[in-house]
Amino acid sequence: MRVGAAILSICVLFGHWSCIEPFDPEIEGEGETLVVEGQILEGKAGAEVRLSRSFAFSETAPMMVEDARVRITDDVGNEHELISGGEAGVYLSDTSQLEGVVGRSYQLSIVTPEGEQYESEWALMKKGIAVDELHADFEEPNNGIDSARGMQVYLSAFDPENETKFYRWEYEETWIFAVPLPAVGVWNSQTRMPDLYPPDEIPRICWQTVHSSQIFLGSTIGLSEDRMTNVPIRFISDQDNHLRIKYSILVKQYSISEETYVFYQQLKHTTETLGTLFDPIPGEVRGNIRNVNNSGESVLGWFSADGFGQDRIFISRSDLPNIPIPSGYAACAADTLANSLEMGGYIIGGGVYVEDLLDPFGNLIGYIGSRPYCTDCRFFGTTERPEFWE
Amino acid sequence: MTRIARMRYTSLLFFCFVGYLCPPYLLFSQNESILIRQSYHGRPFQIFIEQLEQKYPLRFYYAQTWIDSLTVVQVENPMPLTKILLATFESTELSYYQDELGRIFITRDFPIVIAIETSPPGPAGSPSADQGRQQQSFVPDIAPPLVPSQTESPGRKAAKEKQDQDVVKEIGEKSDESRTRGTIVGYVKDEATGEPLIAASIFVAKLSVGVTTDQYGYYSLTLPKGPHTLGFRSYGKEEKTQDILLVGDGVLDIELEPTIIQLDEVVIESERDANIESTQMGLAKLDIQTMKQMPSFMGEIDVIKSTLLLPGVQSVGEGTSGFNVRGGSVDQNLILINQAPIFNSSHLFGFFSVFNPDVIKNFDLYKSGIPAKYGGRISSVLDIAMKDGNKRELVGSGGISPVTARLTLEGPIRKNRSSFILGGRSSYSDWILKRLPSAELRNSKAGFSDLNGKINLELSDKDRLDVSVYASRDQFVLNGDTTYRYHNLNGSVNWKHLFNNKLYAVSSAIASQYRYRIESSAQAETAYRLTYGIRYQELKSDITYIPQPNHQIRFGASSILYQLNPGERLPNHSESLVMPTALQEEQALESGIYLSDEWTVGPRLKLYGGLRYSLYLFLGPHSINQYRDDLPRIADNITGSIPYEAGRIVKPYGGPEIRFSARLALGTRSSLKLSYNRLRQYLHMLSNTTSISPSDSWKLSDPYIRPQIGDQLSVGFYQNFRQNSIETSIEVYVKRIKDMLEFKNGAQLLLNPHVETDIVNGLGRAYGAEFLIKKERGKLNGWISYTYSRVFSQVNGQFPDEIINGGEPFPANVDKPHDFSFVGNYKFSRRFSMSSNIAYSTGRPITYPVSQFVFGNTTRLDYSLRNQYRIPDYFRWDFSLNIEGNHKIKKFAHTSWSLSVFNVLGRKNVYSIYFVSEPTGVQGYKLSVFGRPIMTLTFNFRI
Repeated sequence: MRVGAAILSICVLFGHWSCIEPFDPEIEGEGETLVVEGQILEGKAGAEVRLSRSFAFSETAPMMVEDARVRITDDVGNEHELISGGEAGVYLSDTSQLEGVVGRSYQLSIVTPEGEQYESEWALMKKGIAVDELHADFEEPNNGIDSARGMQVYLSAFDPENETKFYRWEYEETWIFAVPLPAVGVWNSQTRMPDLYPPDEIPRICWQTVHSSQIFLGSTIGLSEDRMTNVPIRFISDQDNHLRIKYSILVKQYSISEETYVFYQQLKHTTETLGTLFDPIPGEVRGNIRNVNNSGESVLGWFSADGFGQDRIFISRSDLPNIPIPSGYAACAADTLANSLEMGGYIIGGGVYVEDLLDPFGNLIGYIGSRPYCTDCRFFGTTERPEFWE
Repeated sequence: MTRIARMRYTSLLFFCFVGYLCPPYLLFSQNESILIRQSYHGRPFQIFIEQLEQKYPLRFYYAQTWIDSLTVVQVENPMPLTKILLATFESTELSYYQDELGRIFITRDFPIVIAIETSPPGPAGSPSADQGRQQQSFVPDIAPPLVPSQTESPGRKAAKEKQDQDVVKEIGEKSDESRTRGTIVGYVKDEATGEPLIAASIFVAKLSVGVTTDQYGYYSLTLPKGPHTLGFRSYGKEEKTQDILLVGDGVLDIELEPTIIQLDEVVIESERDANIESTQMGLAKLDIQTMKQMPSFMGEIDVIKSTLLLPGVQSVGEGTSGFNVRGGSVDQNLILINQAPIFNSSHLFGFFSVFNPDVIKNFDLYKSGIPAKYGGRISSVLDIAMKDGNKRELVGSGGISPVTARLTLEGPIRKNRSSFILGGRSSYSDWILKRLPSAELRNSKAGFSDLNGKINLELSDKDRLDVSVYASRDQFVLNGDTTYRYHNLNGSVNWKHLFNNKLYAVSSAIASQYRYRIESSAQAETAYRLTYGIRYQELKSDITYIPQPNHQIRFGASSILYQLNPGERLPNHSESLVMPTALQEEQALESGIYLSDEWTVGPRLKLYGGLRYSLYLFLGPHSINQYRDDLPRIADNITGSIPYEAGRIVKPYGGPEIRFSARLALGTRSSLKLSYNRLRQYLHMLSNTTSISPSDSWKLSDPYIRPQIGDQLSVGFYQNFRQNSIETSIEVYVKRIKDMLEFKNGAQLLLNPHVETDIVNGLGRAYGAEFLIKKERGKLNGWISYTYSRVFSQVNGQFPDEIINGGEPFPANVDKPHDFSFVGNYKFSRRFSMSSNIAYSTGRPITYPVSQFVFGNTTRLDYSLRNQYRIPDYFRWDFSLNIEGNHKIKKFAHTSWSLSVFNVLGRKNVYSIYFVSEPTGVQGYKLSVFGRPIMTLTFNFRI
């Protein structure tokens, strides 16, 4: 990628800043390929399988595969059936029944509602190791041009037994934030009056949680020790509001097999890297799932049996130098909504009642409102305090 | 002898004295011989000359009895008068002499020989015309030598040339009367610099016999004794003819003048009917003059980019220095500079080529019919010849462009015998990068330089030696972090020895080296240094034997030792945890012997047959991974390894390679050619990217990676028009490549100790037709070419990971069916010329994403079959204006300016298309390397 960036630099140099433009090729959609995302974790951490189908570019979301029969078998003859777990197309294990044992091999079998049978290759359960250290440093890039300062989260891991070798990480980040113009009530179109919230239910402070969407991989295969030191996991810019009050990140660390590593590496290559002059030729990433009766059918996805470890840290505003951090609501302003008119319509995106507008004598002459996202934190997050929140 | 003839000889002598007083337009010479368009073949000679006398200002002087029964021999139509006369008189005792006034004197029993002293022909001094003519004499039996005086008046130079050409030279000594043939040998040189002219052609049109000079400008031609007209042609030089009277073995050195109107024209190939004459097909030649006229990118004249405008030569995109010949991959081209191979032909990731235009003379690109003396690469041979230093005087030249400054110095070591040339080129250190408003770029560095040197020595009349060296260096640092460096270094010593007029040998010792180093030090824990290197040492001998004029036998042997360091990674910091990794070194010996004969069967048929046998030995010390045969070849299935000791043969490969070409003349202006060749390639480039990248490495064939074998059959039809000034050709070919290297999806090629697990052997098939129209002379000159070609790859291995696209053939990366080029030059005056290039080609194949799927919280892409789609078509128009300084001879420095606009239309030609998963969905992007017109002003000088 470094070379890729270099070549881009050169073409910026020669091409006078006009190297890259959006492009929409004409493609005949294929779609409808089964996509399997399956994982069984070490110990009681459970198993989860997501089934969906690929979809055309014109569509926005995949069709999930519901009512499939999903089983995990191990090499000593145990069989465990996963059950649909709330979310469509997601199948979960009963953690009291299924336990991932290091050294055993597991296989995923799927029967779709259409009756097609699929099987994964056998996957050997890897031993998990703990996250050695998770910490964040304030970093100020010294180039002076890109003004992105912020907190860089680093992870370190160490396997003294020198067996893990291949790592994959995911993270979940959560931060608390407040809206500048909290709505004290909600407009009731029947009474043509606002219904006021109870004081403790005003949607002013929320938590927002985001899951990582990139693939993070690490390998110590070329190192003399099975040690990952200061792997950059996430950079939180001071231009985001994540750090304004308090922020937390949970990093899940999976010990994965070489095959799983190679699969994710290929997937990352074909879906996350920039197409520069030096990139490998992309292609179909072959997974380890096959149609039992039709080996020619293309199936996307992977099933793995991974060791597991995790760690969480918090970053408070006090951990940062005294720098301004934007609220993200700079554009929010209160505006007058006309008396006795329906809320909304006067403010682009719909207005939300914030407070009454009174004349100097205390008479109600109208309402003050603002855009929904400025008034109700539930627009982005949830008012429910996460269990782990300190 | 009759009285009338005698009388007229007297007047001839008289007119000789006053000849030069006449206005030049009345002068006639061999060169300007009248072209007879009507066919007189078989008609009485008497009528023929009477008609000529009416039509042209010609007078014939003869005795009636000599020509009473004579009929005209005119084998071509049109045919120059001089040739008709020679042909008509061939079986008689008649000869003729033509003077400047258009008088033609026919003699019997003896030719009129007006000779100046034979070799060396004195170019430095030439006879003052009047003096020369006064001393000129005519004696029937013996022609006393004309002693040239040492003064020269420039204004009369052209006249002097004509005189030289009119003069019949006697070659050899009348010794052995029993022999009917004599051999002429000699050197063809550039008159201005004394530099030998490579591949100049020497021919006797009448006999349809011709030879070309070797890399020393040397030729050998055996002819029947008697009078002949030798023609001499070379790139950018005035064509010259020389009448000779061959009486025995002798020497004839010729110096050719640069084309008088050279500044006016693009000389694409001045071997004007060589395309018709020779058996060689699929050969493209360009000389540096042509390349200099063409619009350039950033003012850098680029050998490789120039080749891309030739039919059958393509590249995967802009900013790649590699090129693809007839569907072959970039590593299938053998690139030689002065016999030594170059392993990375690009500077700065491919934006410029590594060849300094100031020291390059010309190149030959063989696309098919590759001669037996070449081996080792299956697609093409790009043979680049470096200039020899000036043998007459010390000359400096140079130039500046926005990217580089160049300086070349050349001169004699011993005047007229030995010379040197030294040329260097360097980019300005990071000047442009430092001016860019991006910190990342300002912290980056990019630079390159190269150096060429050559010495050529004339050790004796029979021995010549030249020594050349080449070095290039590249460095690129991105944002002060990762540094890429790569170097080419090579040298060759070539010794030519003449055994006799019919046998000579060129023996060479060649060494070449390519290495690169990538260093990273941003993070102490992961700081590393990666090095790669290949060494090449070769000894070879090429022998030419010309037993008869219609046979040219060449044979020779070569042996190459390869030594590779396939990659070594070391920690680059005391705290670095990088484990030192070194792949096993590789070594191999590639040997070849060959024998070929070019046989002129008759005036219509010419054959070339060659056989090369190559033998390749992969040598220890090396340990070879063993795999189970019944399982896919992946790292997990390694069962052990077998070590081999130093020098032991790990794996031999080899076999015969047939080279065959034939030319059938269909008339004097057209011919049909056929060629077949097989080549084997033992050295492969590991690259799963579409272009050459600095971390690409070369790999030797080993027990798992079999040699690639290429077979090509091609047929061509060639037709010239308007006195060979317009050449047209159609070439059709089919190719098959066995064991072509293909890479598995996402293959890891760098530092992979079991790289055989990421490579599959494919089958390549290509076919195509190339059309070319070329006009060499005139105010407007250039060429138009169109190529239709396809190339497919098929990978159908034993295991699922060895199958691509279900095992069906798919378009290879370089499959671009339609390709059109136009190169044109228009001269307004001697000082101003305008050039333009137009290039169009079908977009190259690409693997597109066809649908999306959700995996790991993100929408990702599902890709099509490999190379199922294409990027948009490519189109580019370049333009340049060349301004020469004035042409005064006495001037301190000759200067020229060149203004070129690359991509005039600013078309954003797509280099690649890629897709990124963004929060809003999947977005496609197109990357164009040169999205705007790029204007450059270049200044050149010569002192």
